[in-house]
Amino acid sequence: MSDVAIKIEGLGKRYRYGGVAKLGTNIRADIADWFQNLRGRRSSDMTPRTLTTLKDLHEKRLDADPNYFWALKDINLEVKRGEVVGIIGRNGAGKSTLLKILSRITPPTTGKITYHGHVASLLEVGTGFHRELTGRENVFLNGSILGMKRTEITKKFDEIVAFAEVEKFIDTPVKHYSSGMYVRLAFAVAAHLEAEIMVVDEVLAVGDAEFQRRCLGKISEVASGGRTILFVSHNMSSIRSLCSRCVWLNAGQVQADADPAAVISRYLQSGDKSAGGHECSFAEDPAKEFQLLHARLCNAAGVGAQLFECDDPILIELDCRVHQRIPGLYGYLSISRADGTVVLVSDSHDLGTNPLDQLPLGAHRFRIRLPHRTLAPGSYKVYLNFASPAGVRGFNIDTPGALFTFQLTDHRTRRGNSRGGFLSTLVPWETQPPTTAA
Amino acid sequence: MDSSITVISVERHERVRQLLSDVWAYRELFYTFLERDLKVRYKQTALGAIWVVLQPLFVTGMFSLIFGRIAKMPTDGLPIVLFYFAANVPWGGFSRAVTGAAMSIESNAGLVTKVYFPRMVIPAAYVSGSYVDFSVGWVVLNLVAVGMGHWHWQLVAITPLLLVIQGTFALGIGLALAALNAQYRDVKNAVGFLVSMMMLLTPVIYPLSRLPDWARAWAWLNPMTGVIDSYRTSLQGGPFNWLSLTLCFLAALVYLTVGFWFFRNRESRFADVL
Repeated sequence: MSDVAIKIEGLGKRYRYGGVAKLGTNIRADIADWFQNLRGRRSSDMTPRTLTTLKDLHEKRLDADPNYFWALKDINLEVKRGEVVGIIGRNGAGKSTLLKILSRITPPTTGKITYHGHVASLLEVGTGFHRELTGRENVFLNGSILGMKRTEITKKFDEIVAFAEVEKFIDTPVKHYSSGMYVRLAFAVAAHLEAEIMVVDEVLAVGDAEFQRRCLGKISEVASGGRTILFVSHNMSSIRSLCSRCVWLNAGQVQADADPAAVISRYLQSGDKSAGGHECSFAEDPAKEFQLLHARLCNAAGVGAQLFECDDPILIELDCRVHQRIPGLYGYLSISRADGTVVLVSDSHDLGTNPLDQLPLGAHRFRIRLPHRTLAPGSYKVYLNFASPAGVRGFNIDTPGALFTFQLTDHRTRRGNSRGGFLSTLVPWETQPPTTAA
Repeated sequence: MDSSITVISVERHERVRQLLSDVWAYRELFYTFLERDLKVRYKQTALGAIWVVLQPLFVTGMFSLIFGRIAKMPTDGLPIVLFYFAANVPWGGFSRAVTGAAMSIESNAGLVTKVYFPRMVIPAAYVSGSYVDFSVGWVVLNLVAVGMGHWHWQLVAITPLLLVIQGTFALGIGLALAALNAQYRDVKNAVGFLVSMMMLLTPVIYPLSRLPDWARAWAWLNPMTGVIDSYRTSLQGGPFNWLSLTLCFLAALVYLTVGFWFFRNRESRFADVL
């Protein structure tokens, strides 16, 4: 019993769509809600039976109402003392909602959470920082907002300032700080929070690479100090290196809860089914001599995916149909970064033989294999075109255009996702006997 | 190891005792907010804290000229300047408290959506902050009264009670408006207008004695009436209308209770609607 730090039971959160609806609708819905609440509450003063029926009715009505949806539903978790639990999931899976409920910012609709121990939560660094105030004043302001006592801040003040490396500017208003100094100071305060249970959002996605490394160091220091930590991140490598357990949230529910390596690999393989972004189809057009009908982005196991590890190859499967033989038909593939920079161009005749040339009529399947460790971590767009100098209707035979986007992450190297540059190719550093010749 | 237990559930926010103990636990944050608001207010102004004195002085000058000299408003035997100054100092504090508190949740949305603390701490800090301006104005009021030969010890004696009434009333209205403004920004547009209307309903420009009897009988519904009238009465040397002051105090308590109740019912939703 006493070794449980956090117990979450039947937690759910329902939201109403349209927070910025017209005033009239807002008020009307509010009044309806309020009236329902009043009825529900008043009945609770009478008999428990009427309470359940009335409340059930109200619940049923809301469940059927398309204006309401469950951001989280029936979450049950038990976190032991000293466990470091990573929470992963796609955008909109309910991570932020869960964090907000855990941090008491917003109440749950159903269920409850029991903490055994003092809780601190960190959804953002530098909350409450005021531009006009000095670094010193902001440390005290931010510290108290995060729940530190003044005496505690005074005691740790020098340590915080040293960690942030802003000693010289501590009495300068933070509006004159560089963004790096600002973030360092903000993180330094947060890093010195002391609580038995910490709820941490992805706050490390700030600052330069060197500072990020120090922050990770600080967090693992905290983690090994026997504290219980709930940690939300998109950074698989930090989850892998810090957490002893990983929870995958999907569509407001717990999809998996096990050791990080297992959960992360399942998560990465799952692809983005909700958006259907790893597959696309085209309606058949017999007027085209050649046409791409179906394309798929998948991993080495042949499972559709949009999120890949740099260490794994990326496969693009193409199902095509030839209606008319075209001499000299070739495929063109380009991969560009999110900002539009083209990083890779490939023609189907690059390697000498062109499998698309002189294809017989009928259905064909091709597979393009992008070798592992080619592109740097990041997000990319895939563009495809088919052309031939002998096309009847022009040079372009079939132009499917931008087909997919995919993400590459790297969590097996130390540099990981902060690598930068265009490539993730690993280059050997070899020891050589020193040359004696000058 | 600390074995404090925190429970978060649907019902949690409905317990008043829990809420009050939370507010008490976060009192340091209250001081921090108070300090921040005071520090920030006059940063990067050329005149700095002189503004605190300048505002009531300027308004008093205008009122004295227009209502005193030109409109010849009776002043119950007080010198015109003192008559208006005695009203402008508390009214200035009150209107700053109400306006600041009403906007407070919205203007601190960045905190409300990122960190937990009892939300009441924010409007309460704004109301308390208004006392700082008040104190400076009050000292000047005493100096002006001494200078004009109209100072009376009762001014000092009655002030604490009047401050309690003023703060209670301002916090009550401020809490309700702050909660409302979190969801409906209409409040932001209405609050200036609302405060001006209240000033007209309060004997700031005119003496209480100018109101018809029936209106005076109900004046305690607006506790600021009793507050401002009592400052003037104290300078005239008394006697205070204790019945009216008691009613004002009770009315202020009712406003605070209603404001508190309204705020408490809504505060859990702030993060979702801001």
